[in-house]
Amino acid sequence: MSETMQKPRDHIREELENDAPLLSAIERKPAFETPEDYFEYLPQQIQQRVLETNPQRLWGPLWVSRSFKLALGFSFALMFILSSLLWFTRTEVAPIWSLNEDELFDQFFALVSEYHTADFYDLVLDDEAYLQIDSDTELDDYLFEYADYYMIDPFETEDPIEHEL
Amino acid sequence: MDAYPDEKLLALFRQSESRNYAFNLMVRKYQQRVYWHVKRLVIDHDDTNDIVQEIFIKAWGGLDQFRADSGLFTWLYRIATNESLSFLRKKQRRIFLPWQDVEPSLAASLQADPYFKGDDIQKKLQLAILTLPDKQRVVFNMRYFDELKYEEMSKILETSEGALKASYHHAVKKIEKYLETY
Repeated sequence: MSETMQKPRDHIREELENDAPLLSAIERKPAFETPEDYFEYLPQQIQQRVLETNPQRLWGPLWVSRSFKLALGFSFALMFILSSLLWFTRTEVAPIWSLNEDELFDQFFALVSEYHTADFYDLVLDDEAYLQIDSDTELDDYLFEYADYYMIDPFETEDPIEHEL
Repeated sequence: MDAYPDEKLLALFRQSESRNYAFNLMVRKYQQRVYWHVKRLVIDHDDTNDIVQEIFIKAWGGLDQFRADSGLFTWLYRIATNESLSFLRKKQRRIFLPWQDVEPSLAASLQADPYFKGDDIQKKLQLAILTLPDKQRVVFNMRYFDELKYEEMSKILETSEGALKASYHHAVKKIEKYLETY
């Protein structure tokens, strides 16, 4: 295909006639041509190069839109903040096999103390004794006094309260 | 092709399902004008081909942000001009001789160009144009061959119309002098 050139317009030639008579005398016609069917295949070559150079851009306007990028950025920021909060406020629970005997007892006691304390009160303290106890020390002494009852296997002995009575 | 004005092409491009189709139409609409603009600046067909492809790849990358303030044609011409001048600067650096201009290299390309089909006077004109500084050559080509108005050229080159008229006038004088001499 040869070089395309629009039909010469008078004002271009008029501009040149006075200032450049030699130039204005040259016929303005296409001086170059292209390889055969060049412009027929060029769009395909360009599309191919676009695919090779920017494959992700073929995802379309959603992927490249500013609002999508903003939303994506906000999501990542939110996830980061939540992850950080979880990390810094986490409670470490040691695996049970890594605890020594004292730690194991403490953990067990922490979990069941409330239940057992209630049981202790129900089982050990009768109303009269409870009213006479004023301090923790007195309570400890009272419990130690009856400790023997609780160290005995409950399935093999009679009720300690009844036993006392 | 005239059935697809720039606004419609841009609207089609922004829809994912017609994106490739719109881009193909845009390339077909402007490929010749872009090609000849670049060809007149860099002369060699293979170089021109590479630059034209690069121009449209850049256009693909920038079309989402294109706001149509200046018109698609103006925008493509600006990319084409910048890419061509950038290519010539790189070519000059490859010569490794700072005092040597790229003009002899372009003139050699013109002499050997299998796709030049003009007569002797046209070759002389092309050689005369190659003696101009790059930006003056751009202005002359746009006015003389593409017949662009100074107003359009001003938008493309982001230069005042007065400066462009002066530049064209100087270019014409230099070419006329060359034609008188050789």
